[in-house]
Amino acid sequence: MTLALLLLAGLFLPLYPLSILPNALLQGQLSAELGKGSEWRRAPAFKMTLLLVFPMIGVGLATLAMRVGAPDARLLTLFGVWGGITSVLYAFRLLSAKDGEIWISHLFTSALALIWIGIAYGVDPLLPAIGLSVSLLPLVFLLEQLTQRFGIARSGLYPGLCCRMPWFSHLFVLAVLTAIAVPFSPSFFAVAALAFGGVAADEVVVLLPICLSWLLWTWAGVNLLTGIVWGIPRDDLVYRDLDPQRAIGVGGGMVVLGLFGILLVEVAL
Amino acid sequence: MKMLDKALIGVRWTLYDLVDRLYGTRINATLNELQIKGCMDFLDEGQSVWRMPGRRQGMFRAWSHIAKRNSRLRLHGLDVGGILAQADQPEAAIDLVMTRLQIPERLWMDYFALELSKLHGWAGFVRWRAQAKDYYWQDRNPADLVDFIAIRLVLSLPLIEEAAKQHQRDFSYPAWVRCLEERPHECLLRHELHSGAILPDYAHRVEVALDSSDAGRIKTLSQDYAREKTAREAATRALRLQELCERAGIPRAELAGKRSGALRQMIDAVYAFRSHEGFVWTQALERTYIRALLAKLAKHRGATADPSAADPSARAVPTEPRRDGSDIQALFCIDVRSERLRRQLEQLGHYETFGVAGFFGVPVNFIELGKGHEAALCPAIVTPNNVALEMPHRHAGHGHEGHSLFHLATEVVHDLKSTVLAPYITVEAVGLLFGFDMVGKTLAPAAYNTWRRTLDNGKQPTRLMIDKISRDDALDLIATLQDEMVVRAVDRHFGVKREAITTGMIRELREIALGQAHAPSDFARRFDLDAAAETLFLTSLRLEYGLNPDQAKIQLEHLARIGFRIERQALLVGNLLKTIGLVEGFAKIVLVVGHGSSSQNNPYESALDCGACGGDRGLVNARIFAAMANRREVRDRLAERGIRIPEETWFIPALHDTTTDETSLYDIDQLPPGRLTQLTRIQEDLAAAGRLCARERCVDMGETGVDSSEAAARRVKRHAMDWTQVRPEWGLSKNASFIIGSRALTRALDLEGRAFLHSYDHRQDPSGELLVGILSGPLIVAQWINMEHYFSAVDNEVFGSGSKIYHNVVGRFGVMTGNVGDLRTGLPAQTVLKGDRPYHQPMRLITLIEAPLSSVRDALARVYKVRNLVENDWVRLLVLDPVTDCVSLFEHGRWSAQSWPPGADRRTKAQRPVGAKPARRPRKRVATLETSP
Repeated sequence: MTLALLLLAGLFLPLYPLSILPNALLQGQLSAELGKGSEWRRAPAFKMTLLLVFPMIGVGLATLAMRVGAPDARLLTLFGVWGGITSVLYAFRLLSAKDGEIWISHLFTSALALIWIGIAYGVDPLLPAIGLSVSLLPLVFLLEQLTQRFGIARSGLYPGLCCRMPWFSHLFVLAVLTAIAVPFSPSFFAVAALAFGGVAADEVVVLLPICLSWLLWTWAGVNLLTGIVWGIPRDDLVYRDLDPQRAIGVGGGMVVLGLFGILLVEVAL
Repeated sequence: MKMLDKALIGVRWTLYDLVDRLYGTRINATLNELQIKGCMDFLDEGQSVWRMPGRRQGMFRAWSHIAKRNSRLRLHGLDVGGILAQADQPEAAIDLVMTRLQIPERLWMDYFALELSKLHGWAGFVRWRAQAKDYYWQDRNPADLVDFIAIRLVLSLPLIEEAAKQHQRDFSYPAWVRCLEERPHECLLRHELHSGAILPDYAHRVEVALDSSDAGRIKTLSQDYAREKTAREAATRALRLQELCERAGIPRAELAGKRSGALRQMIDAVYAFRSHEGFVWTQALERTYIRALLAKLAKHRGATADPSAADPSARAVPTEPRRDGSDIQALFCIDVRSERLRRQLEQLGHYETFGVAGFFGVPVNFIELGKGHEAALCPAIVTPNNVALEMPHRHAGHGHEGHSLFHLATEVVHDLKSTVLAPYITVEAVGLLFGFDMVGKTLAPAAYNTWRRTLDNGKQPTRLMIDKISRDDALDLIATLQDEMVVRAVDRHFGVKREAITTGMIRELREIALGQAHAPSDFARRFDLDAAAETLFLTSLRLEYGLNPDQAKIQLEHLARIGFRIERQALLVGNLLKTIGLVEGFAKIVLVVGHGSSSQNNPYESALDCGACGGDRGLVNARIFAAMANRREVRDRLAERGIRIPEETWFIPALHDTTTDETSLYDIDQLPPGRLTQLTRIQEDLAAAGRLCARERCVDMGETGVDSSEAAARRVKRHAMDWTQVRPEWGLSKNASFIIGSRALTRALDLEGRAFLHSYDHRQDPSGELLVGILSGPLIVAQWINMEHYFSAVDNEVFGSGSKIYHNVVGRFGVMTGNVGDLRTGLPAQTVLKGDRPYHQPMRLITLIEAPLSSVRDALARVYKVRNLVENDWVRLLVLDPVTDCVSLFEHGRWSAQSWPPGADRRTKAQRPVGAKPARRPRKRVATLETSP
């Protein structure tokens, strides 16, 4: 029963190959196959809900598994290693991702898989899971803005946004930095909580996947910014910036996220 | 949309360009990086501590020697060893690669041109180096374009083959031709996807279709895509056209009406204008400037003309030399930056100034004290025959007596930085000192640099050796040097000091080494050397210390080049004075003002120095000229030619710092005591004029908070010392015209530092020789400078060198953007642009000559290069004929009279060819399209 619950949790705190389903959902592949009438599944609200709900379900199932019967420490370690490998695998794949939907889904999988390391070494998984998933929300919103303007959110197709869409570019840089867990974002404190959990358990080896994934996220984030924000703008496209009110709104949301990160550090650490 | 044309393979695209464009690889970037690193290693001129081995064998051989064992290349999947094993000559390597890629021979030259254009900066440098005469590094480490192409091709082959393996395709030339013929739709979509030109909303579909490899699906999508892209482009253009029409005042209704034909006319007009647009703006700029310049000159002439001189021929006589009341004359460089100082100095009173090319007619190779190489101080088109040597006033002796503690510390730190391990320790030990240095330079550059100068003793006083030495003196000098070598060799080989050997022993050893005497020597007998040891020592003297007849002969030849004969000195001085019309009425003091700049942390510093001195400071030429002109023997010979320089006249060299506008006098210790009393006043005048110039400069630089000339002087001085300053001065930016004529034409006119001013008195030049000299030298140099600024302003990224901020000095010979990039050519953005907009107005050099038109035409006929420039419209030539008082402009292959003074008799004179019938209709003011040359 415990194993079954943990495996079920591996669907929501994605473990490869169970991660295929949440990835397909986040990338809108299933909705495309369902044809017309399922467009709402590509809507940002649906994706944001997925990003927020999946970790909650996963953490709930994992907690339930712990309560149903105390699992063997070796089993938990196995899940921890599995999570670490999944995280590094998706982080590596993230380097070559150009499409915004794929980027978000891979980062989500890579980040949430790290929760298993926390579970294996006795870190309360709830706040790190929320911190990691919430940090992706501004980026989902901004990628949707790109889709509305250009038909697709993809790196390399419309470079040089900084010159033509300064409001958007400022927010986009902040959103990417928040997503890849730079300091003072909720995801940074989430990663720190997981890492310190490993250190506290005297299992320094858990730091390896965390550090490696973090490094690869940063690299991928710079790639994404390079392909979208910097470069020479195309003359054949119409660039339309965010209106200042909306930009201020999104900026305000990010400030709230920052405050949430500080709250997280208060509670988790 | 057009399909990709197979005829462009090898002409516009290399094979790896196609791989990059159709498969999204980065072969070109990788190739550039690898080749640049190879070039940096080989072409280095002393910047790197560990130098590339085997460079004397030539670029390709040295590179291939290392490439065969380069594990980094293997990590890239590049096995160049196999190719290099088959071809050890660059030509053979080129042949091998081109054959392996199956590129038809008819395309080879185009293909090579394409390859060279990929890194045009590096290729250009290699080409220049290969063709430069007596370029030390080329003689030492030879390289040419064949080597360059061979390296590029050898690197490209495995990269292409690796990509072919990865994509399971054949990327040879015939395969690409087949691909474009048989799968045009796939190629088109691939090209759109990977070249970054695709419609964003199609990107995913295109990618999926290409991954499916379904030819039918690809074709359908390609046709759909082409239709959509064409439609969107048409919509965008229609929108732009509509905006344009609205601005032009054409109502939308008229545009939409089919009968009016307005739309068609507008489209035709746009297409017709597009190809000429740039040239129209250039012409508009030039005409505006010409009109304003002529108006200024006419106004000035009107204000200064003698009312009694109604007869034009009376006006043909310039008022020079010498202006009444002026008791100091000054010779300045023609440089546009001298114009300001000349004007301000003249306005202070009692100064008469002349403009002449800043090398003062003295082409010379200069060997600076403490430097072992010659620097050519003359325009690049001149090859100097004579050498000037800088000698100290007092002999510093051996050892470090002449070195300050500061110098010693600087040398030690520099040496520590250059070793492999020492920097790790040095940073810990003295790293903090560099922090102080940085803070001082950044926060208080003026005060900090002043303090630094107090630590430095500065350069010791020197004099220039400009007279020829006799053969006997030269032989004595060589013998002395050889004796010195013998003393050093004896000390090094046997530990025997000078006091232990006699002069006779030294001389005997020297003579034996030179083959003028026979062993054994007294020295060998005195110190019990056996025959073998003595022979070994003598061989070392001959080979290591250069004591052999061949070396002695070379030294004698070198010494023969030092200095100028008196006749030559008189000729150079006389020519210059005649050219500027200064043959009588000499003042008691004549300043010879060279110019240079001062800035910190600036690889482009030489671009701010004197172009006529080969991008160096003009002080040495000024000192040599003044020294020559002050010689009694020279003056005697000049008097024989009718140029009588009074005994009381003294030439004083000076240096005008164009960044701070400070002018310093030199060689004052050689001044006759009677002249010393005037020095203080001259120095005060120069300082005052400099401050006024600084104030003008501050306005141009957009400086705020400068409320007095003193504040302006302080501000520009700070710029010169500030290492963060990317624009210490505007330099020659905004240069526009070159005026050859008497100073009376422009005196007191504010030409805004935009005009090269060359003094010329046509009355002194009945044969036209002097004008020919000005046209073939200074004008050519000014035109180069003008074109350099023109192209750098027109497209700074391509013809200029982009922003200085990202520049790194490479190999001590150039700069590149970033850590690995193409060698940058042209001027940086900070020199020609102010923000995003050009500060330098790009126009061709507007040259105005004050001389009879017939003389100018004769002179032009004799100077092929200048004639070409004028006839092909690279120089806009205006002639102000002082005899007829008419101005003629050479345009479209003929001379046309310009209204002079502007506005007068406009209807009849404007644009009328000289000698042609008057035009029937007055010229329209509407700008007309004209064909470019």
